[in-house]
Formats: sequence, C-alpha cells, structure tokens
Amino acid sequence: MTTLEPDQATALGLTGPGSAPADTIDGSMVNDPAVRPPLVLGDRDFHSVTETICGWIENKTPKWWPLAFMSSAGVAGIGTVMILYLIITGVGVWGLQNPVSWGWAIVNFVWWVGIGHAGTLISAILCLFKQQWRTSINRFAEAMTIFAVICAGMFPGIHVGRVWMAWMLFPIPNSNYIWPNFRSPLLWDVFAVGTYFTVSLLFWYMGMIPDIATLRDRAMLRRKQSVTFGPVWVPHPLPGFIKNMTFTIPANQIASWVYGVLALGWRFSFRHWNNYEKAYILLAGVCTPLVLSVHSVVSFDFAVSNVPGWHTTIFPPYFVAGAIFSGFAMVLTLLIPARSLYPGMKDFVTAKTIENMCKIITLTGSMVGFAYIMEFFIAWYGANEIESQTFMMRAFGPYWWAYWIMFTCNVLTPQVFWFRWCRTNIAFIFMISILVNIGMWFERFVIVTTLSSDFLPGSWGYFSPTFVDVMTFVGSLGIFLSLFLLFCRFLPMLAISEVKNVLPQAHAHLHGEEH
Amino acid sequence: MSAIFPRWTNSVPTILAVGSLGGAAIAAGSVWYWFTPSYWEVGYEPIQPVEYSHQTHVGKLGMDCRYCHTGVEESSEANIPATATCMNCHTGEGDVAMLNSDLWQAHKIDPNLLQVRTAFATGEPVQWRRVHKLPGYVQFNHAAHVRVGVSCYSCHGRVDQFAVVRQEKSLAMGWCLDCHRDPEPHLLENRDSMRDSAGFCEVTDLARAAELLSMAEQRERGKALANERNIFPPESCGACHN
Amino acid sequence: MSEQSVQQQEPYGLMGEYSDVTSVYRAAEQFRDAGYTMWDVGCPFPIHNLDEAMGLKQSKVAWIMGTGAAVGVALALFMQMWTAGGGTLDIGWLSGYRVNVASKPLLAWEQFLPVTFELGVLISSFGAIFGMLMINRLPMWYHPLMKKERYLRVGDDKFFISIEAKDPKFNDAKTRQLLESTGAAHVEVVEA
Repeated sequence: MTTLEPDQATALGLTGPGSAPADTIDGSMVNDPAVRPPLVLGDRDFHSVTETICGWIENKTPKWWPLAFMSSAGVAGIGTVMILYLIITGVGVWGLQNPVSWGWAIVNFVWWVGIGHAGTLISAILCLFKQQWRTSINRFAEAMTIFAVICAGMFPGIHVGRVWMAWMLFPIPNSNYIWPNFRSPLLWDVFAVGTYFTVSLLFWYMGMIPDIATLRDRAMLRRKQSVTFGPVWVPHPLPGFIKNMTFTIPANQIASWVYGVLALGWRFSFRHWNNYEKAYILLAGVCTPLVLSVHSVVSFDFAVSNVPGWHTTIFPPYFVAGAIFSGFAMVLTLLIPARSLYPGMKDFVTAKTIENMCKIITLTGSMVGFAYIMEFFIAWYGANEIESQTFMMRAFGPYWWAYWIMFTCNVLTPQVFWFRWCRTNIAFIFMISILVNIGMWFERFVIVTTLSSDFLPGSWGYFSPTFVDVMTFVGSLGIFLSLFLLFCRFLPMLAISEVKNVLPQAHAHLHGEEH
Repeated sequence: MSAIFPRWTNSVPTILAVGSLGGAAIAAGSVWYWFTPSYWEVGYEPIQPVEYSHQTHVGKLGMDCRYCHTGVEESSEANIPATATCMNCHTGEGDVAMLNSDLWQAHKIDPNLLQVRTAFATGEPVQWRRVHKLPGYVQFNHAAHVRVGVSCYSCHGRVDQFAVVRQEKSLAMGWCLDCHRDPEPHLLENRDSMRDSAGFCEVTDLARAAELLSMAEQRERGKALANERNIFPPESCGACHN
Repeated sequence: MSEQSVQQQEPYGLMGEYSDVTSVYRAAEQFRDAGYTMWDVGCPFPIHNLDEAMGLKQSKVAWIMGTGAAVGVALALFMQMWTAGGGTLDIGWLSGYRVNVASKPLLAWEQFLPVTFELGVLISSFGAIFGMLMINRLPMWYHPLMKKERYLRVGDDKFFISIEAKDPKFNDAKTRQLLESTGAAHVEVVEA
C-alpha cells in the first residue's frame, strides 16, 4: 500500500527499541494525525514475525497453560453433566415457568451470539474500511466468535427438551409432511445463526491456511532430528498379548502431518494469492451485511412478537450495537491476559490497538444507552398505558436491580474512555471489559424477564434460576475457555501473513515509476 | 528432502469429493427408505393369544365388521369385542343352525376356544394385542370417518383375507394428510344409518369396497359424494392434535 | 524412486530465491516481459500490485460467488414458496404445504426475506471459498516445489520465482541466466 510511504520514515523511527517518546506509551500512541502510528513495534523483519508467532506454538508449552486448561475443562465438564442431567430429566430442572417460559437459556443464547459478533466485524467491516490495525487481532477475534457461537447454539438446542428431535429445525422431508414454519422469526434465527457460524468458520479457516502452511514448512524443516518415545504397551499377537515397545519417529512428524493436511497443500504461489485475496475481500463484502443481519434476526425473536416492551422497531439496531459492544469487550477480556502471557505479543497488539477498541466500546455503549433512553421516551410519547407500565416495571419493578446493573455497566462505565488515561491503562481497561460483559448479560436478562408481568396480572410471577441453570451457564464459560486455550496452543493466534503485509518492508520501492 | 505427502495424495480430493457425494446419496436414500413408518410399521403382525381368523369369520362366513367392532359408528374407538360376543356362537352347548355337526364338534374341543370359554367363565379378558397404534397426542375418531363413507378397507386393507391381522398402512401423519387433502378417491356411499340397511353396506364390505375404489369413475363418484354431503376434511393441527 | 529414474525424468523446472520484495517485484516484471506463461512467484504474503507485475488477469472468483448468490436466493425462495407458500407452486406431486399458521397469508413473501438473504450469503460464501480452492486446484498435498528444502522458507521471509519446464519459452540456460540476472540467489533445478 503506497499510501504508507510518506510517513514511513517517521513510523520506522518510532519502532526502534527505546526510541519511543515518553507520551506515546509503547511508541504506538501517536496523536498527531499527520503521523501514521506504527502497526508493529520492535523493529521487526519478516523472519522475527514468523519466529515470534510460530514460537508460541512450537516452543515448550508455558507452565500456566495446562493449569488453565485443566480448570476450564473441569468447569466445562460440570456444564456437560448439567446438560446430560437436563436431557435425561427434562427442561423442568431449569427455573422456567409461566409466564417466564424463556429463562436463562435464551438470555445465554443472545449473550453468546452477541459476543460472537466481534470477530466477523473485525475481519469483515474493518477490512472493508481498510483499518490495518485489525490485522493483529482479527484471527484472535474470529476464533472467539466461533467458540462463542458454539456456546450460543448449544442453548436453544437443549432448550427444546427432546434434543433428538432437533433435526425438525431444518427443512428435511419427513413422513409427517411437517415443514418448519418459515413465517416464524425463530426459524429465521436458525438460518441466520447457522449461516453465521458456517461462514465465520470457513472465513477463519481460509484466513489460517497460509499460516498453517508456514507451521507445516517449519515442522518439515525440523524433522531432521528424531524423537524416541516409549516404552508403551502395544497389543501383540504373541503370548502375553501386550508388549513394551519403543518408537522412534522424526521430530514433528505428527505436527507436519496435521498441519500438512490442514494447509491443503498451500505453497504461497502468487497465482493462488491472487484468487485468495479476491475471495477474501468479497467474503468481507458479504459478511458485513451478514454480521448486521444476524443480531437483527435475533432481535426479531422478541420484536416480531406483540409483547409490550419487546414489540419495538428500535430492537434490531439496538441489538446490533449491543452485540458489537459486548464482542469487543470479550475480545479485550481475552486479549489483555494473552498479551502479557505470550512473549512479544505486545509488539503486535499495541497500545494503539487497545485504545482503538476502547473507542469502539465507548461508541457502541453510547448507542446502546441512547436506545435504552429512547425506549422510555417512546413508551411515554406513544401514550400506550401498557407499554409505559412495562417500562416502569423494568426500572422500578421487581427486577429494578437487574435494570440498574445493566444501565450502570453498559452506559455509564464505558464513558470513562473519554479520558486518555483510562484508554491506555491496561489493567483498568481489563476491569471495564469485564463490567461490560456483565452489563450485557443483564441487558438480555432484563429483556427476557419482561415476560414476568404479562397481560394478566393474575399470572404475574418472579423468575428464579435453579442450580442447574447457573451451572449450565458457568459450564458454557468453561467450554468457551477450553476451546480458546486449545486454539492458543495449537493454531496461529495472529494472522502471520497479514501482519507481514503491514510491515513497511512489505512494499516494493519502485521510485520514479507509476504503477 | 522428501515430500511431506506422496504423489498419490493429489487424487485424494477427487476421491473424497466423489465419495462424499456418493456417501451422502446413500445416506439420504437409506433414511428415505428405512427411516419411515411405511418401512417399520407396515406388516406388524403380532401373535395373538387366540388364533382368531378374520379370513374364516369375515371372508368365509360373511360376517359384518360391526358384529364384533360395535363402537365403530358411534365412538372414536372401533373396540375389541368382549368375550361375550364370542360366546354368542361358541358356547359349546347351544345349536347354531348355520354350522354342520362335524365342524361343531371340532369347535367344541378347539384349545383356542377353551381359552375364550375360560375367560368368559372367570371374567378375565383375553389379552389381545393391539395392532394399530397411534401416539397419545393424536386423536383419531372412527365414527367420524366411517359415517362420511370412508371404508374400513381404506385404512385396514383386506382384513377378510387375513388369517392373522397385520398392519397394512403406515399410519404416518403424511399418510393421513394424503387423504385429508384429497379425500375423493376414498369416499363411498353410506346410508344415513348403516344398521337399518338390509344388505352389507359399501363401507364395511371389504371386497366390494376394494372393487369400487379401484374403478375408473371413483373420483367423480367421490367428488359428487363430497359435494352432496359437504365433506371437506380439516387440515389444521388442531383437527387431530388437541 | 532410484537415482537413475530421477535423472531420466524431465525436471519440473527451475527456481530462484530472492531476498526482498523489491527485487522479486522487478524480476517478475522481467519474466512477464520475456513472455513466460507457466511460471509463478512464491511469497509469504500477497505482495501489493504483483498481479500487474506478473501480468495476471482479474480473478474469476467473483463469478463463482455471484452464481452462488443466485443459486442461494433461488433455492431459498423455492424452498419457502413450496413448503410454506401453499398452492404457489402447485405442480403435480409438488404441491405446497397448506397449513394456516396464525392466519398469516400463505405466500408471505415479506416473511421469506430473512431466510432468502441468509441462504444467499451462505451459498455465495461457499462459492467464494470453494471456488477459490477449485481455481487454485487445492487441496494439492503433493507438489514438486515442496520437496525443495530451500523453498520451505517461502512461508517465512524468502521470495521465489519458479518456471516450469513445460513453458514453451523455457530454455535451461536462458531461463537460468534470466533468473540470475534479475538477482536470484541459489538457482536450483526442481525435480519432478
């Protein structure tokens, strides 16, 4: 990109070790709009980029990793037991009841889907807007998206009770002549979330193909050494049936095979890159409306019904803004620890990148806050008694505490990012990101518990979760974290080829030539 | 340096593509054929405690279905007859003019009938096995169907030819809907009260029904009957699931 | 494979290594101008504007993707109009599923839009990704270039130009000379 060239010298000057002026934090926080801040710090060349990012996978597993994985897998195991208990016993083990017939299951579903919006937003929308700072976080955010959508999809799946009938969500010919009701927003949801998951997964995988090929080639280069393992017990036809055997295989044999199969034989041919780049930008093009559509469709689950407090046209934009808001918060929650745990990651995920994300959080948080206020305004201005009563119940009714947690965490907290100190203090940002995650969970809770006071005061009730409700939700966090830790351990966390592409030396110096 | 994968692996994508297409076709075909009520329900033929033969009673002796299945015109259930119904003929004591004495003697010592007589004496019903089962969430009303002129034959087949009763139709929801959407090929003449009729009516005479329904003019006849009697079967969920 | 049979076989071609973007870019221009057709550049990331330097045409992926979008939209509309649209598509055994849901119209095209959009996106994305792989003839797990130890640095920080022996312009001496004159280090023969 030749547009980089005018301030290339400045950028290079800033990336040198120890050359960062004091007020630029790590050298990336340049506030002069005429100066393009460096995207990668530490005076890195292509080789050191490869070494650092591949090193996180190839080097010895860090000590904290098995500990973190074991504990999150344990939590995931508890969640799995809860799900099995639900399937064996029935949905009655949850706190669902009339009138709140959609309890935590839908709260968790919407929360996780919302979180799953950041990845494709970063990889698609920011790609179209040529926001190059996204290259250091897009792979990370996309992985988070995939795992969040897996957790989201789990909840409606088990909420149906008879999980073996879940195939009826899809239009499959059957001897009952029953087809799904295509006029229902719940079915739109199946298609929207299903498409979103499939496309995000393919987009993520396609982006990883070149990086996996790099890992494959590096594994091949290290195959000259050999490793011996054993003795292991092996079944054997001779008496005794089990024999102790020792194996010697080339080092990285398994890694090179696995990465080799996954890389699909990518050989970095530019003829391939040419089609690849076209496919990538086109996918970014279709994913942009897709991201916006998914949470709009999720909001239709509520907005298309005629329940007061749900039947509002503000829902789609308000849900989409909330989704981006919570997604960025979750990316920060994961990114900030990873950034300090993996050596060299701070050179790619710079303070400027984090600051940009904080700005997006403030923007989307304010949009969500506007929507909260606008809902009240319209409830009053629309002069519909039931509608205004519903909103009064939200803020001052039995769930007042949930409403005010939501309002504080989502609207007031992100406003701190107007101050530069808050946007650059990593520990502080981490805390705020957790608060935003909590706030967004409560937003979904507030919306769902609107059902607790429906049209008939005689059927009003108060929703309380059961132990199984709580542990299933906690278990979904465990599943999410386990998958994420596996990703960090075995797959390239940063898009290696994309990061190389934004280095200053990635551009041919063709002085005095137009092209 | 040796290659990571041998040369032949380049044919794997083609093999995989063709194989998965073929596999998907086989899987879809298998589900289509085997995973249906028309495969696993049709032909259900349980062994009954008493070897009662419809072939003898209906086909040979010409009894009407309603002699035993008395509820079929009035209630949702066609009902299994009480042991007393058997005992109308098979007391082993009285005289039945229609039967010659040899056959009568055979009946007297038949072990099957011994069971029936024991049941009658003790009041313990014969444990007949139900052949046509519908799930609990389906409400099917025999009277509604029989009274509008749907023959027993349409759902149960030529029971008059069965030595042992078996399930002839799938009873799948789609099978019900086939007729509810297009009832004309299945409608027969039915007098206001079948009981008053002198002979066997079209609905319960299985051989006659089979013959009539296979005739070319059945559709026109059915259409006329439907219009005349205002027969428009419901297709809404609530018609059968309530 | 024995040594002898390797030598008897026609080699795959020649390859040369470049150490930076500018030199591989300049070299690509020269290969393009020399009229080679069956040659390729290996680079760890898509070098900006290299398609012009190589004289490549616009990628065909967009056409496959467009076709996918049309197929997805058509499929979605057909599926919904047939299963939920009542008698809309009453062609013999293909009769619609006429069940009244909450008195909504059978052919409720407005309510068919979300699924139509989603399926359009889904199939067009399949078109983009699988179309890209198809045009690139991937997966191709074996390739002569991948046997060259030197070439395994292509995903790291090295750049390569490889010319196939099948290229009509290919001439062992001349091609080698062009590689060397454009600044390639380590010009090597790639065995088939």
